[in-house]
Amino acid sequence: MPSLWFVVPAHGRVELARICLRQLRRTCDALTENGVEATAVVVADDENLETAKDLGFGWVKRDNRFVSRKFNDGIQLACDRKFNRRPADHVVPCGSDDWVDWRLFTDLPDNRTMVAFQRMSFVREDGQELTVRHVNNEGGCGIRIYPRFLMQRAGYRPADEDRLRACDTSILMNVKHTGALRRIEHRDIDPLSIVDWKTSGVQLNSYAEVSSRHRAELERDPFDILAGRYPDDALDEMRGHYARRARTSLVIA
Amino acid sequence: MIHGIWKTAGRRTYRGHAPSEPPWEASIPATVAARAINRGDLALLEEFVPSLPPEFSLPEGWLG
Repeated sequence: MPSLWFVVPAHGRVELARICLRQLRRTCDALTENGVEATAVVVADDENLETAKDLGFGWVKRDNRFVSRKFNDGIQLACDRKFNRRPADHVVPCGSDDWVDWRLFTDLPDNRTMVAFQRMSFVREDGQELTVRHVNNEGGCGIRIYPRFLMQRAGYRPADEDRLRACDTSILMNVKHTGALRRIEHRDIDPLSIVDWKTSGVQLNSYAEVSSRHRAELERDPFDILAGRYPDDALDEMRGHYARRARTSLVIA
Repeated sequence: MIHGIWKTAGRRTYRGHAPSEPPWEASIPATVAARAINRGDLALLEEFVPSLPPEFSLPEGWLG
């Protein structure tokens, strides 16, 4: 059975990350039931590590100074035999605020192909609106499937070590520089298969920035449109999370 | 690429780091670093190969 690891740097926003990591656990279990042995590694230095341990994921304790280094740590633990006697066949960088549908990862690319997705959904910081966007660049959104071979050619640490943002671009550029990447395969997907749950105050790219930068295809209530696609438990947890945040904001105001 | 701890040596800010700043960590292409060092703008205090930190764990049951 081929294997796949999600690589998840995390920092703060512990409650949201816990909900998303629990959903990632369901994604991994569904993949494993459907022929791809899947798990994740969480890279953090705070309470998110406890969540990772509770869920049976791998973990790396790393400070948050350089986000790119956290991606590298997770990829290295997943793929480098020096640290993992049974290295993963594929890795997928993933945010601690993302939901991904397991069906995206059943068809895995060959050694010299990276899979990219250009359509995805974003939920506004207040949890009241979901927008579907076309991320019209070569690498698509940050969720990508990389075969281990490409990571190996990049020394298992493909991102520039000192980046605070644009880590996905850095990984892709450095993988390209190795000369091992032959093809980027863009898969046309249902954009609700990737959901980025925004949180106010901590985003590198806010909902407003995403909205201004990428073409909109749809705007709806997130919980209505995601019902039936993701488990009710996960949606209930997320609805509760945004409701609590709204109450807290009111109290502070 | 050289990864290490650097210090801005000259009077000018280098890569956003002022001379008065404490040493900073970065990866810099070898040729770029060599030129900056020759100009007297940059000093390499420590070079190292980045790797996993000491505390990490594989997923539960991964090795069976």
